[in-house]
Amino acid sequence: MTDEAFEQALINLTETMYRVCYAQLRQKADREDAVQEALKKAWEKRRLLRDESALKPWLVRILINECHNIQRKNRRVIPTEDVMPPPPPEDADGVMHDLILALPEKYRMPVLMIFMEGMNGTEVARALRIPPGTVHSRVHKARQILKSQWEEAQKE
Amino acid sequence: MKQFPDDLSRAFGRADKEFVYQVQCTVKKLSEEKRKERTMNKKIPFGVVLFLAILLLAMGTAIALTIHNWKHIETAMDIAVENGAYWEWSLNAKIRLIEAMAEDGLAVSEGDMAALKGDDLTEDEKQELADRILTEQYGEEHFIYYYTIAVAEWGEPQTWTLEQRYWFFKTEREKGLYLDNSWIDLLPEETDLTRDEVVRIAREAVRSAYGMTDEEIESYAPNVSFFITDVCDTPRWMVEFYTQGEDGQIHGSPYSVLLTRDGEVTEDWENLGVLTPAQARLRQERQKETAVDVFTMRGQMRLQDQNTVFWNPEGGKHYHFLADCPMVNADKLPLKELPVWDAQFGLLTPCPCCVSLQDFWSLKDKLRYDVGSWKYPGPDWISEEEAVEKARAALEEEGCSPEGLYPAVYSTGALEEEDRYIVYFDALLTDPDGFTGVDPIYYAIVDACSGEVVSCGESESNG
Repeated sequence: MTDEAFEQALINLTETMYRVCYAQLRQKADREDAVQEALKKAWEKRRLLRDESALKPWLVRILINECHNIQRKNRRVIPTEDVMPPPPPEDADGVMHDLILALPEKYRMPVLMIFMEGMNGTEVARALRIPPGTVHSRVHKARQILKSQWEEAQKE
Repeated sequence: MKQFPDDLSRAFGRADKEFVYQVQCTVKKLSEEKRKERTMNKKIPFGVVLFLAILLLAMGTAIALTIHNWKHIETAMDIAVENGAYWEWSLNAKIRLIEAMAEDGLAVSEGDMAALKGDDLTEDEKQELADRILTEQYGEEHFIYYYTIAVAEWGEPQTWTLEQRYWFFKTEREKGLYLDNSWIDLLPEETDLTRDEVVRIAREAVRSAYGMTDEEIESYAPNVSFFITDVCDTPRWMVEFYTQGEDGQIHGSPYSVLLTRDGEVTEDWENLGVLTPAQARLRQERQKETAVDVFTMRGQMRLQDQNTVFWNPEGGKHYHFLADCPMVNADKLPLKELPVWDAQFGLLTPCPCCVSLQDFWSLKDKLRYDVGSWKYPGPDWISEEEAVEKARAALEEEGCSPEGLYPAVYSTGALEEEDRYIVYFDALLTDPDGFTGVDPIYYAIVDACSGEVVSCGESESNG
């Protein structure tokens, strides 16, 4: 893969990177920091890749690692009352936004990758370093939770 | 009632403008830095290429025999050509590499080899076994490739022999894995100087130029190349001196010597397309800065503003922004000033506490370097030092002892009404490898104008 093709492939994955970061980090500045560092690492290791289809799970894995690094560093809580998470973006599906973010990470990330990123089970397994069978069972469980909570929300 | 949607892709909306901009700018910056690394575009004359091709072919076989454990490295290169990145490797490719590792004498148990080649395991089980063998040897999967395998076998490239350099980069080019011809490593001929002779000449050159003792210059290891470039087809020698930490990490130095084929020290840096010593030093500084994590981007910004940093002349390895850096033993404080243009600065690495992290920076420095969105201290605010003392006293009254902890000063958010300091008292976290981070143990909120402590107690972590 040429450097130019790699550059363009990274830019084409902007929305994917945004969703992965959004699922992990509430603050905008943290998401920008995570993606910057992930891009730097991906660029340094770009020679690994020969075709664009392999880039997505690889980049997602690097990005998840960077998000985890930032989560570890953000161990401070400013102890003022009512520190609210930022509101969902205007163009987001508000109900589904909150439901997905409320999922535990082990369910949230497979749901994001399968249903938002269109990755297959093998790609998700590689990106999350879990067996493919575990991917499917977690997605199944996550979908059950989401559907049940979504139906409750519709009744209100 | 609406149906549960199958398409969740809009749950988070689309990336905001700032995020998109961040991605585009970062990618652009990375590609521009790569383009600046090699600015020469003149090709090597065909006659030289032909001569070298014949020479290299004749020498290739002999050379492979003088370097050790190259077979599995070459196998990894072949796999990279055929399969690409590790997660694309077939099971057969992984087994091929493991077999080559065993041939080169790397520890692969007979039981594991038999299991991989036998019929008792399913394919998934064999995959898992192969992954385990390879990640145990080489670390995380997505960083397993021929270059890291070579480093695991031979050490960092700066430590490689002339034969290893020559073989590796030639093989890499031949297999189409690296297409840059701006620097080509060669092997000296029998009539050329030996490596030891070249190192001796280079050491003497640095020693006399910088007034060093023998002991000082010999504390550096030499990285030796015999090479041509695409702007100069006359072979020359380059000796770059470096140090290596106990963790194996290479630390560059400003000391590099360029020599003609006959061993004469030359200043003809321009024609070789090689950085001048001043450029090399600047590049070394940039590499050192970019080697640390994203949080030292702010450290880099601060470094550009400073003419001096702080250090411990009695064996300190780091440079610091704070004269009383919490990571330094109290008996070494206060640290001494060091100008950033001093040669010693080039040998120090950023402090992981007060350079990499901003927790202990003053509030004003945090705001100056865009660490966060807090209120800037107003003219009627008490000083940060006073806020810390008020906080400390209030905590002690509550029975919380901040002794042995380090104050980190913040203020309320920029959009909030109240003018307040928030003072944390942090413990330093360490593991066997050293400093790893901070943990806020106590907090106190101090009214910035009156100095009254509004609340204080134990800090909660996000967990």
